[in-house]
Amino acid sequence: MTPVLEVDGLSVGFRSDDGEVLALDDVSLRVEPGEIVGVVGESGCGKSTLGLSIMGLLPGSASVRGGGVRLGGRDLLTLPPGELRRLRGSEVGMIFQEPMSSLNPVMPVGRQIGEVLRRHRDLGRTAAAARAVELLDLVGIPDAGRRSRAYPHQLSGGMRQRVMIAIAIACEPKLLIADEPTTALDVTVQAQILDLLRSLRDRVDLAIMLITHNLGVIATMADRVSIMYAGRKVEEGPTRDILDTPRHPYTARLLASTPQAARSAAVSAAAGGPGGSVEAGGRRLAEIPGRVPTMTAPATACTFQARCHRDVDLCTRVRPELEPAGGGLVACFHPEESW
Amino acid sequence: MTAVTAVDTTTERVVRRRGVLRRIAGHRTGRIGLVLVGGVVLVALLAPVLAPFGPEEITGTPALTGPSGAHWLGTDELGRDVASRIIWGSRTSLQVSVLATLLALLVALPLGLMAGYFRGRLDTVVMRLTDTGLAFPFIVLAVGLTAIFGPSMVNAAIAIGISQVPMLIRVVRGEALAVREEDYIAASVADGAGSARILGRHVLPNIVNTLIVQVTVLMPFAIITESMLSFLGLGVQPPTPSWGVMLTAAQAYTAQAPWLAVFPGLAIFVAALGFNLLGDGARDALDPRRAR
Amino acid sequence: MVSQQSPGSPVLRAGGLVKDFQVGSVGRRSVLRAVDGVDLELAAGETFGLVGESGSGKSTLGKVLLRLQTPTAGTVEFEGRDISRAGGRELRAVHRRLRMVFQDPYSSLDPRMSIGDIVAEPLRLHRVARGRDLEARVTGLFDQCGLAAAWRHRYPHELSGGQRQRVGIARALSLRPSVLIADEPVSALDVSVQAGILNLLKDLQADLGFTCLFISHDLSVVEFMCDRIAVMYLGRIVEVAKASELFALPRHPYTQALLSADPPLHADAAATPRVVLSGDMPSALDPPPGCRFHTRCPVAEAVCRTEDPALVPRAADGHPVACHLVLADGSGPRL
Repeated sequence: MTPVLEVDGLSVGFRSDDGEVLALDDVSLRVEPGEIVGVVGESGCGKSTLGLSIMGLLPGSASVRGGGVRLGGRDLLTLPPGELRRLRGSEVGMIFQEPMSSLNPVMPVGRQIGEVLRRHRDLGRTAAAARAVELLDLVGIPDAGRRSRAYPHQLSGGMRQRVMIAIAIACEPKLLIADEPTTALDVTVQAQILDLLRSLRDRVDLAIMLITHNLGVIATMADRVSIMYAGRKVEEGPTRDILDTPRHPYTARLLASTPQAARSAAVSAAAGGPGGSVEAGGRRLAEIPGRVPTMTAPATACTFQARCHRDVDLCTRVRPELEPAGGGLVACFHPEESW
Repeated sequence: MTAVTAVDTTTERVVRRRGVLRRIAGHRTGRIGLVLVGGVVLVALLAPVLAPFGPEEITGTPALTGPSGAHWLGTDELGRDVASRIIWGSRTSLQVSVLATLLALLVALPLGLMAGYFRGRLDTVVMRLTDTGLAFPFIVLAVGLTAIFGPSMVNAAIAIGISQVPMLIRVVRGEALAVREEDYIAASVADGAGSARILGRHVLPNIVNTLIVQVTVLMPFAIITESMLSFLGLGVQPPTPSWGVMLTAAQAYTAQAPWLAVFPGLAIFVAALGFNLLGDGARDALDPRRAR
Repeated sequence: MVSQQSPGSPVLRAGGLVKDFQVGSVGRRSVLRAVDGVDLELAAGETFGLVGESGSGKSTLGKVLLRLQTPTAGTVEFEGRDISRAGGRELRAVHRRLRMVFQDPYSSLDPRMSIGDIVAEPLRLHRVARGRDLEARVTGLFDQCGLAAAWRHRYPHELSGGQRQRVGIARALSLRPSVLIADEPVSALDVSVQAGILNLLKDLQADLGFTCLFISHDLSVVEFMCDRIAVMYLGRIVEVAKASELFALPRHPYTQALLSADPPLHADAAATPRVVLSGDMPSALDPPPGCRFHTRCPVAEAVCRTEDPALVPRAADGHPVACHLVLADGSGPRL
């Protein structure tokens, strides 16, 4: 089966006042049909740039420095702008963190969905309007016929994100890129939206690239996950493996820094299991000293080396490449093995 | 147990508090503005030294003579030296614009700050007054003032200043409204700061950018408006030189002696441009977030 | 300087606290009741968590307790004194010992002031220290909060989010308060940065012994930080319990849903059944009659639509829950 999305060695640079900053450094990624792939990292790791470059939505200050993006076998980076526009919305859709700023405030939401259908599917006004109502129903908006005439400000945050999803999937794309889709939402509403995304995957075989900083969202959603750090992918594998037995020191520390980790460590300590990241009794979270480096050129050493608890000379001289480890890939000379 | 685990030792550019002028001078357009405005100020200060003739001195050279070695910018309809009159005239223009701007700030700043920060009834009253002021025709105001106090440079400056108060109040109030919603204002209240301190130490510094831009718009506006008032006989009275007065007098001779209009016009243009560039530079240089 | 109160007695108390806001334009005014009759007590030295979603009124409650806002009704008592209507000098004195850390580390620091000045400001305002003494105090606070003293002359924009929040904490602690109200102090930060701030707050509390009201939407953060937790929904507290008790046996259906919506990281936790609530929180402009939660409650019965449940212990050994359906043995209804 051909993958829906193949990103191959993609590098993207941004012009800034301090010279060029490399937001993505040789990143590869595959998404199979109907698969939910998580892309996880903290601010500045390049995860959002990855989503934007797949959509061809990079800002003017950014430029692709190398590599390729193939969507359903076609190379996106060499596609003429007109073709790319046609592809956007019809073969790949995208949703963002803040649905309010992505919706037109003076147009009823039904019409906004209809616009997409008329542009990409050549539907007439009435057909588009009818299909828009069907889509609103599909994304779980009650009383869809009436709500399709509502303006964005008349809907709640969760409802607006549902509308965005309806727009993104209106033309039945194979791939949905979701960039922090639930970050602005309350947890109970987040649960609803995640449920919706999962059910869409099951019902219309939609592949989803889920970009998020929230490891809990990844845990409940993703089949596979890629961990990004300073513009590079440092680890990839099946979600359960990564979360339960992280191999890259960054992944391990990131997981240990979450309060959830403290909770499960307390649970397992009570059950006589290994204490893991929590100091006995002290209940402290693991911290990662230092800060993310700003990359101005392709890495020549391990980008995490300066913050890593291991102090190994090799890591400062040679860049670790992604190598098979366990069920996935890890870019570290000394992956965590103590599991 | 003390936590100093997360001290990170990244060395970054440390922006030091250098002098305002030096910071503006470090900014490209700010530097040009500084030179232009500085030039105008210098010319005004050094007028007695720089000007070859007195402002009202009839030189004996025939009227309406073109630029020459003796009279760089020619002579006017009475045989006065145009260069000298422009140099002396810079004093009038600067005085009027500084006076008008100061007056406008003096009235508008406290009213706007308090209206925006305290809201409530004070705000309503100030805003209604502002609306009335905005609806009041400027010329009527200027004529009224002159009718009562007689035409003079100071009265022209007062008229210009007062005419700009309502607009300035609106701008200041709008900025104060925005700043008062910031968490650092709430934090300051929780710190135990009184309203006066909050206004002076937090609100005012954070709207200073806007104020500087407003001032650099007001100054050239005042220069130009002064010439208009002088033209109507409501401002500076001949023979006192002012760029506006000179421009007005030149009207009759545009065909024979175009330099009479060109050079004062150029002076107004340079001064106005200088203030605008200075404003751009100051806005960037004074903002710690933009400091480079 | 630890609170002068004897341990265990309440340092901060709210009784029947109500906060209304007038919304809408002239002629079409309506009343939004953000906080609707809240009672709570903070014992000296404890960390009390206030958890809820946006619109639950938790932030407003924090601001009213700090007296940044005046309550519409009810009382706030701080160290045994009623401060509900305090103003001027009295309120200033209260604000020396009752401090706040704000949510947004970007907008809570004046961009025009150096971070050294920001931390020194409360000390100056209350004339606690000056000159060399002030310098030394600021250096000490920087050190305590994990900031390099050499950064005193830097401006907020030169700092990362985590560093700014450390500045916010140093400012709040500069007057050695007895109570610290932390309103979503880590919600704007990355996970690994958040860990540093949470550890810092815990360490400082262990060192300085202040009482903490910790407001957050993030359950796992609240669980990590707090001794006791109150869950808020639509302006009301629906359940109060010890942290361990609340997480082990949530009783109110809303608490149960909230817990199950917080995605667990590990497989062992994934076994817990997920409850996904339908719909959104109703508007506080037009709250539903009866139990506020009945419109979204999967087990609501007729009584829930008409009768407002009180926040009381429903069993002999139980903690207070505002739900009619808690069983006689104290366990909550099964969703």
